[in-house]
Amino acid sequence: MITVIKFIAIFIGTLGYAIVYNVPKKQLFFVGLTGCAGYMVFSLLPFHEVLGCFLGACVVAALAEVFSRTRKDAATLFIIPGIIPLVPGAKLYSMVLSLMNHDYLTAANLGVLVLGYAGSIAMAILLVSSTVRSVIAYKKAK
Amino acid sequence: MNKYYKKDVLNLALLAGELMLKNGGETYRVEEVMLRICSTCGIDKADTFVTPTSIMLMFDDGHDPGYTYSLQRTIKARDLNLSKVSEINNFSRLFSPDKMSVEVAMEYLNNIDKGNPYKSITRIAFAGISAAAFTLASGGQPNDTICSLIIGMIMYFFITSYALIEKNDFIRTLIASIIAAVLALLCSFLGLCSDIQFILIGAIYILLPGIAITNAIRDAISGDLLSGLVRAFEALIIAGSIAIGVGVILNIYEIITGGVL
Repeated sequence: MITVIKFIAIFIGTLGYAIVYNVPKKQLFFVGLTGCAGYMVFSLLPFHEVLGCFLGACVVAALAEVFSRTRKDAATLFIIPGIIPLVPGAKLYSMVLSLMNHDYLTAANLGVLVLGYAGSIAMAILLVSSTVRSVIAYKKAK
Repeated sequence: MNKYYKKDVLNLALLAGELMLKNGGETYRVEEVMLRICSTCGIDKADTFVTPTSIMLMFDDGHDPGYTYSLQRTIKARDLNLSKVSEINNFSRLFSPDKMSVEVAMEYLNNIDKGNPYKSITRIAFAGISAAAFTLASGGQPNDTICSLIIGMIMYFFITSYALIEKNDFIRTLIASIIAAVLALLCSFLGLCSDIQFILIGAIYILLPGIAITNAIRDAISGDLLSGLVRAFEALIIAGSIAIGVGVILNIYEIITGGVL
């Protein structure tokens, strides 16, 4: 039950972020879906968070490419709000807090983890988008 | 096709590119849109140079020096408005000089620039709802969620009203995160919430530089290394200013009260 509430909250949160950055009304539902699907995949792997984040971001980027074809709009429209739930806000906050409390060991640990999250999101988008790009280029060449 | 017509077309392409870049389009998409508009109007030899802060559009027409055009726009302030990006992108695909004259197209682009899909009150409300949802998702209690809803709205109200005078993202984000931290501490002081951690996490999510990160990656993939670096730096600055804003306020609070959070 708690998990369901969490997923609904993620859906609404992604939707809100999309509205704040003026995503067109007709795409809103699909934007929320993208963010929610990415977070679901992320929460399937609770013991290996960075890998989970990578796979979640892969799902977000892949869904964004699918929706950009079927809904006829730019893929970034779906990626930008979609990756927001994967960003480690809580870890970033704890890192700042431990830096303040002169607990530099914890801060370094959390900092590396945050960098891992950010890098895995970036890598996932890079991988999926460039794969899609080369597939399209290959189809055009044929 | 006289030279005035060509200049009009170049101006139209420049306007489309400027609006896209201002509203958060990726660099390669801006170049694509500008060149697409030029080539549908019969100008094939145009070339562009786009970075996140400026656009150049150059066109050399044969041997006559009077026919060489070079137009430039500097972009100081960048707003984030994805629906305008999508509308201009669609416009550049559909635009053709047979169906729509260049003057009408200019007018159309200016109308896109003026229109907004949501009223600012809607965006403020949804900023609050978004912050509340992320607070709930990261493990906050119902009373934390309500605090986060109100703080998110106040913070975003500040951002929208401050954006009219100050276009600098760094200062805007810094002050917004300071406001969030102060209000969260106030809530905990009044006993309205169980833990300020969840409130701050929720509020931070609205400030995250999602567009800068995503565009940095997509620019880097498509070969615009310069733009990729610039946007990655922008994202880093915004993330840093969130951390500084929240960190400074919490530190001051600790010094004043003497307690560890």
